[in-house]
Amino acid sequence: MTPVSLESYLLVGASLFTLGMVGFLTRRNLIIMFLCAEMMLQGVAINLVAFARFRGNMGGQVLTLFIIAIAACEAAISLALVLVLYRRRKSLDVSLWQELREPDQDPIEDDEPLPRAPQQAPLPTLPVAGREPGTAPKETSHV
Amino acid sequence: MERLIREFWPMLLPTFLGFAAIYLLVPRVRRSTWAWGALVGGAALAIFILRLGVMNAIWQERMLFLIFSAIALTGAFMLITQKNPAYAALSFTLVIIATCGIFLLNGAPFLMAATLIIYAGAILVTFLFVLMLAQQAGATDADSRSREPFLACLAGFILLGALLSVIQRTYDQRKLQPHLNQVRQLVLAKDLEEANGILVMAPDPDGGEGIRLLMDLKPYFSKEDYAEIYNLEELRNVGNLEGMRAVGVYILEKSWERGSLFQPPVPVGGDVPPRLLAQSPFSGVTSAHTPVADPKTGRPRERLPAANVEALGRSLFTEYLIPVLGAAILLLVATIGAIAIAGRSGEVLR
Repeated sequence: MTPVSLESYLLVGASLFTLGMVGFLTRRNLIIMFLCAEMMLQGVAINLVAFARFRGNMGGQVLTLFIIAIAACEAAISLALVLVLYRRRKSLDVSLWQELREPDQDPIEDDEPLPRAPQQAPLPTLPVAGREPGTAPKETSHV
Repeated sequence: MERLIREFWPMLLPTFLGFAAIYLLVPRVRRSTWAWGALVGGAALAIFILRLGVMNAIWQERMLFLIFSAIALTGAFMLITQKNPAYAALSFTLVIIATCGIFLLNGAPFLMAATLIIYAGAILVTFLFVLMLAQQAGATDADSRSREPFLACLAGFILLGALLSVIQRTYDQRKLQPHLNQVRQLVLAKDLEEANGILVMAPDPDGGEGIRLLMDLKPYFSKEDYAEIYNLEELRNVGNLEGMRAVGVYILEKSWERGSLFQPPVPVGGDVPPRLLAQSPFSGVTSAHTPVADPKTGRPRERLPAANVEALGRSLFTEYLIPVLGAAILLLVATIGAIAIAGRSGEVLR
């Protein structure tokens, strides 16, 4: 009867970290990029907590608490920045900010247009029947 | 190169499959059916989960660990591949909840609660709030494209492959297990004869003769630790059984620190493994069973205390007082900074 080995926890932590990095590199939405950065922090936190248990030392848990504090600061600042960026460009797309790149870098352009959403067939309409109420001749009073 | 692949393919194969699945599923303009990607991703996850070295573990912990890690990895996968940012944020919640489970498995209930409240409760809700404020129409043009998916997946594959291989090389205890089993028998040995039966002499590759077990253990320990272990030969020649047991306990302790699959030191003469008792300078719990002493310092080795919140608080406000103050200042500065950045220009603070 033995506990789950330290190796397993480290493997899961490393996987979360790398998946976060790949998400940060590929996605273009600012919010998803920040979520991926938070996920990298989670991977590190798993490592720290596992080490704390296997070494019998509270240091790992204390560090994880600091990570949570830093993540909260990061979230506050990043959301403020996202709001400012959104107000300027009216979009959360990072590639709208690529004039900030190095001068010798080529811009990334979307040359391939998105496929159009299939047009919905127009809803069937009923033929007009009877008289339109507005055009009815005025009836004169016989009284 | 060939040796590398032969040795590490059980780690490299699921990594490769996983990044292939991400490459297939990442949002792009013309995406083929998602079934292939999901299939490959599921296979990667299954191989990875089977590969995690948990075979001998206590079944409750094993089950919970496998469930939580599967949920965490699936959530991470969905976070990357979801087109709609709101769904991505929700799959991030999955990752958080699974991580909290892993925290709980590792004896950190306070961190579990804190992470759940702060991440899933506060940070995620603010993220969703900004998302709803900025992007009310759901997925946009930018969400259905991705930047350089092939290069990013390649970079991720190289990084994760390297990380997993190094972790496996450093912490894999499978080859060490039979030797540790012998050490365990040595610790439990009743008399000198039995102990000498375990410590068989064998010809040394450098010439001369040495204890076989020591030669087997040598590659796994650092120089300083090995110097400590090397006393075993002298102790055997003198016939000091207690000394040999102490060295055996030391070996088990060291391998536990590196994540051994073995429950650490079997207390000599005791019936309760010390790991199950809360023993630490912080916990204040006293027990009839004294924990096994570190042969170097003579003091009992530290254990994670049972009273987690108390120990965490004590540790925070004694050892880590200055960092706590630093974190408090950082939080304050971040709050002021966020208000300063997000406030509209031209708006006068009253």
